[in-house]
Amino acid sequence: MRRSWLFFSLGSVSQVCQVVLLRELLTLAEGTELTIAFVLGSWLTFVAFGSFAATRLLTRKGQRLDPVLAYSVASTFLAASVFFDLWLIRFSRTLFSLPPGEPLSVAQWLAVAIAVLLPVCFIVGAQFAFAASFANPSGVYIAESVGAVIAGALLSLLLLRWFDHSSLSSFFLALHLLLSSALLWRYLPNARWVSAAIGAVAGLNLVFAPLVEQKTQTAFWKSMFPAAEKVHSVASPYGSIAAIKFSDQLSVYQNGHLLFTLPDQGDVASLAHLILLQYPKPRRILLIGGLGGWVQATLQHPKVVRVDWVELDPTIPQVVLTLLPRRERGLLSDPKLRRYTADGRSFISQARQTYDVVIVVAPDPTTAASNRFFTREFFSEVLRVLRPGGVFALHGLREPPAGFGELYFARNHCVYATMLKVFCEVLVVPSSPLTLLGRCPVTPSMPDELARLTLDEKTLLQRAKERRLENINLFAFTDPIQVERVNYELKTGLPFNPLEREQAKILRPKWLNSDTNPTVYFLSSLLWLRMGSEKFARLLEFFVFLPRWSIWLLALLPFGFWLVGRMKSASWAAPATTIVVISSVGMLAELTVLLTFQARFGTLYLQVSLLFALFMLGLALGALVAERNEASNSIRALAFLSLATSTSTLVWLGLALCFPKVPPVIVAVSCGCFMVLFGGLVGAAFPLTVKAMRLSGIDGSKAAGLTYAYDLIGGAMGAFIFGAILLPLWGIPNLLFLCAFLCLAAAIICSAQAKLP
Amino acid sequence: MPDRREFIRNLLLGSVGTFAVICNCQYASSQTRRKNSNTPLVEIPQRWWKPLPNNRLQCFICPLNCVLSNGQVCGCNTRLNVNGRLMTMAYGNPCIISLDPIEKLPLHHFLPGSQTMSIATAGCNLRCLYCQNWQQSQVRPDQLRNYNLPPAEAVKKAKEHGIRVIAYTYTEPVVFWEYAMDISERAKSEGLKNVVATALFMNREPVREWCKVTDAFAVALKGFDDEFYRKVVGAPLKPVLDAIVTVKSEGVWLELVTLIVPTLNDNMKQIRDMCLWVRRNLGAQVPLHFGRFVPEYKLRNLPRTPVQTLEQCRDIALDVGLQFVYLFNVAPHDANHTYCPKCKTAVIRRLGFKLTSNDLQRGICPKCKTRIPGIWQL
Repeated sequence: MRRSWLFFSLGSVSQVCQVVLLRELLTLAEGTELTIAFVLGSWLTFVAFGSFAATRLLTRKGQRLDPVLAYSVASTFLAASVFFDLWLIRFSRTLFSLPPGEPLSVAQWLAVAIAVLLPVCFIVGAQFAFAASFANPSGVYIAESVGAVIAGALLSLLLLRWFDHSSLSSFFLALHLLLSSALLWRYLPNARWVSAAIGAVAGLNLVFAPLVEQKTQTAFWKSMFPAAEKVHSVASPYGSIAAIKFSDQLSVYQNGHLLFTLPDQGDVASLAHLILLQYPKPRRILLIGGLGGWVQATLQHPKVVRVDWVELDPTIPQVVLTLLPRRERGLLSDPKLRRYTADGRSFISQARQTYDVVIVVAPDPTTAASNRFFTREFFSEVLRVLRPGGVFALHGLREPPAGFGELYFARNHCVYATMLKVFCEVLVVPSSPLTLLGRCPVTPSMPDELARLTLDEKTLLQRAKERRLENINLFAFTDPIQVERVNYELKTGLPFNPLEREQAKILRPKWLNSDTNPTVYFLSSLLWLRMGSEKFARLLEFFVFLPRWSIWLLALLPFGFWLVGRMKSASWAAPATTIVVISSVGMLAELTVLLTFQARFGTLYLQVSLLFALFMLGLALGALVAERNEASNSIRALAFLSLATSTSTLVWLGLALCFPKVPPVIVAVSCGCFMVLFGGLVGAAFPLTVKAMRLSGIDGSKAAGLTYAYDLIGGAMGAFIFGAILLPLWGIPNLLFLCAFLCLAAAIICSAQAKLP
Repeated sequence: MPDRREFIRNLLLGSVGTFAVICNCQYASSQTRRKNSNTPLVEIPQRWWKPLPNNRLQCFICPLNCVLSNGQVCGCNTRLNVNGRLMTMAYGNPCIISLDPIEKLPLHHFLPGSQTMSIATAGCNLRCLYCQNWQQSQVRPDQLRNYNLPPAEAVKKAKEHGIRVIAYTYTEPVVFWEYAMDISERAKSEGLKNVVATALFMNREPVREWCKVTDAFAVALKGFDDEFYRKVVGAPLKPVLDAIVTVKSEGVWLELVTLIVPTLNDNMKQIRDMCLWVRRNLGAQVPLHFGRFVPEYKLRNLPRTPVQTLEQCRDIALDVGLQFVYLFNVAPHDANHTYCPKCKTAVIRRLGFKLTSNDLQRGICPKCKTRIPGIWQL
């Protein structure tokens, strides 16, 4: 057991590599969370290949490969692979000769992701096999998990805030190399020169890391925007922030995705005033996001006494403010302005005061993170902090300039319908991007002319005059034709144009957008896919129009699989079915925990490493406990495990639905605990299945191999199919119910199998 | 007990089965769409294509000059070879029918303030990375839900709604040229006007033919660098320049539009070269519009064009001697207005696409009596 602890650095470096590469690949995919599912699924698969290949290498007849030597040498290849990967990711745009501003297509992203993940995962898997060959496998598993947990915690709580990816990787790789070197020095005296060489590589690793970071970042930005001058970049806890100067504009990017550009050419100020003119005397304003023009405009509106401005990522204002002209910087030290650094939703959910107007400047809901500002739950939270008659403005929903596009249309209608469920009145401003105005129920004391939202230019200019607000141009937002068009289309789902209306048959999904059922996010993801792969996107669109009840057809799959196995007299079918079910459910559950965490706290970017590590810890603990189970009881134990997974899924669902009302600390702790729990359930399934396979007549190593294969299939299914496709489409509650049922089915199958001769 | 071979065989069978399910889903999805979209096939006159051996043919409508095998679709996504005959899928089945102000095309010197009925089908023979209508332009007509609007019906609809101008725009009229031509002929005979907003990547002969039934062209000259054209637009530059000169030589009203994309086509030397070319080949009185790029489609990580850049482009164009230079997608801005080239009075004022005042008297400046080129009356 003591030897096993020498391999804890494998867990650390594996965890760091996983998080760093995931974050880098997220940047290439413009932050779309669908990629998380792919990365997780691929990680499992490739690690398994590496482990399998190394095991074969070690167990071949006549093989004299020393596992310690192999392990140590593999560490150097790991270090090289990680730096190669960082280089590949940041040079990928140049390699594909993409013009500035063009993101990678889906196919290109997949190619880069596989090229990046395969070598690293393969080596990590191989190193595990080498380590397990040298020391107690269970001990190595546990040591690896502990290493992963420690690294995950350090990353989330400390290191990701201060260090860039190259530095982080190089530090942990250096540690791993040094430990490998020490291991070799201790246990293979004949190879001390190799040990010394590995130690030297560790040193070189640390020396070259800053250079690699600088060169690759420069190359990335040069390919993105060659003519621009990159003035500032910083690793924020929420993403990699870069401020780019071009002509008189400053553009801010987060994770390679354009967030906003300053100055806003005057449009924003007029729009902000238009919003504030909807309320009789707006005194207290809450502004979420909207650095630059929004802040200034709200401060300059007459009668406003206080503006609470909430910005999630404190790095962005810090970066931008130092680069804005002095005159504009001065406005932001206005005494009426109070700045808060917090997630917008958390701020609203905990706010005690009420506001006259709440303005949310959100990015287009192309990611699960941004989708949070377009959900029913969020709208309800906003309604709570608005005074009677208060106005809510949501700015950020894109529509194609021509006004057409089935997917955009379906998506935007979903947002409108969701908002109308919460607010008594919704009006769409034809800005670019769109601004949706919502109003609270008014009080009887409110003057009639101010009781309704309006985009009548004359009325608004009159109000502006009364407030002594001069030089505002509202035409762009009050053109009657455009106002009528956008409102008609978003409200009715029909084209405004009478020529089209005669013949239009536009279908749209009938679901609202919520935290647990992110329909808008799914439709945005379809748009992202369609830009790169028309055929794949069309296939996924097919799922949009399937009725909800069709999901339950999947529940019959375990029975089908088992029955086919029984027909072939394969008594191993029951444990095989069970491990596929538990692995896929475990993977899906892991993803739902991540999404729920993100929905509550606004971001996963910083905490993802800790959450992954907790899952790994659960895997190890589960495997350890299950190892001690009696072989003769394994099929019954599998039945019990399936039941436990089913119950855990339902309990998790119940808790997750209560999270909006629960203090953040409890949410965070619950997410952590459930990560460990689900990891434990998946981890326990493996040894139990191996034992059950052996009981059904399959011999030792073949049982392990088969179990591994089915475990992978389940994990991949959980990630790719459930996680990437069905989860955003059908929502968390539906899928978790389905998972509970699948586990129940597996439990029934195992119980039935236990009773059969 | 499964051995390795059996396991791999089962896995392969499972993969094939999954693939078959996926294909069926795709087929079902495409069939659903096909049922909802009428996709007629109309034969194209043989003047514009040439039969080749083995049931192949070559299309000559645009400079792609596609050689098609039986069943193959052109690069424009609308024409295909059916048993040795060239047919079009884009006829009578527009995917966009809209009512728009004429300033949106943009045409500033053609019946200002009038409303147009805009028609477009799916498809395009270019592959612009920043296409604003990519969901319609980068697909085939049979992949979209379309409307049923034969040429006679289109003209009837326009007249019913009091529209005097029919516009062929949004996607790329070159790819539904046959349909546009038939509508135009009927519209012309009924006293309506026809205008086209196009990138004009088209061979000269069909352009000449088109000029006979068209009253104005708004041509997108997307840049003045062949490398930019090939990489970002997906076609060479020279055929576009030749086509533009052809339109001018046919005496049809012409306005040029250039969307300025940051870092890609905003090189001021190239802008100057372009303006000089316009002046030499088309004349100083051809209106030129510089547009502000909006991030879309595959270039969504580039910021909008700085207004300063657009103003610089305009200054260069005026400096070179072009008389009517506008900025679009930037409002309000003084460059939205039309100024008399002699006395510099703003004779037509606009706020974006909205006409706010028109002081021209039959195309004459009210102050200095200079004739402003354009088509100001029906």
